[in-house]
Amino acid sequence: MEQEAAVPRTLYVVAALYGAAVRLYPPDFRREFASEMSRDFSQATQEAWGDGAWRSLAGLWTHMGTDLACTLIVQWLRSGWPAITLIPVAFATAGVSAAARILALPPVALPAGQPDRDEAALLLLVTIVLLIVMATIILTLWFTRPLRYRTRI
Amino acid sequence: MAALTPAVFHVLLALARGERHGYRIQKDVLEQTAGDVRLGPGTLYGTLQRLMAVDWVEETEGPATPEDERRRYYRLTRSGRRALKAEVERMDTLVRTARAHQVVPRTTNR
Repeated sequence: MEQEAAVPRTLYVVAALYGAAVRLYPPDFRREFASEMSRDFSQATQEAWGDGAWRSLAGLWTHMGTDLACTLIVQWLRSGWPAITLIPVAFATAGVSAAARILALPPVALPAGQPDRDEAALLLLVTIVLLIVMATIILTLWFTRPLRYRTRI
Repeated sequence: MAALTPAVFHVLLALARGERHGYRIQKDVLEQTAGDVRLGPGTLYGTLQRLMAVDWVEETEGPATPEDERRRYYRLTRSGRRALKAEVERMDTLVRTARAHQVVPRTTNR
């Protein structure tokens, strides 16, 4: 009991967050392995806390977080769902739609002497966002190509 | 046969020692690589999923110990063991070739 009391609450919170994050995997994978993954994470966290407290935990959580992010993409690509590419496309659509609505608003009267830079700044911002989204899509497709077409085990 | 990925090789090697649950496999891989390879849960279970799909690994009942009773255990199938053996032989041939070309001395110990 005393040992349990010495474990900070943060560990349980992070374990719960990881448990929630593994629900982002595709349904088949999630049903099969999510509970085991959460259990492994909790056990590894408890052991790392016993080994070297926060220093060990920082290394472990960094590794686990990276693993989670990478394998989420891989699993969704393997699932045959185009969700990974649809997410940035949805963001781009929402961005363009929002920009169009903002541009359609009636002009606001500016105080005398202040230059009208809002429109140009907005267009620049939208262009940058679109470029980032396009770059994300292209890079995601490019770098995951070997995973999608990989034939070896 | 194409070379196995490192994750697949290490999982097969860990399971060659007997049936294991996922966390034990992770610990065994860490131990057998002297801490060089740490498989995260996503990588491990993704690998196990693919290995079960090609029938190299199968799920077992596992031992009926109270603390591990809810764990899922995995073991090598015959074809999995054959694949591991073939990979080890392939790597052995490569190492012997490298030594013959004096890339590494014959007595090198890591």
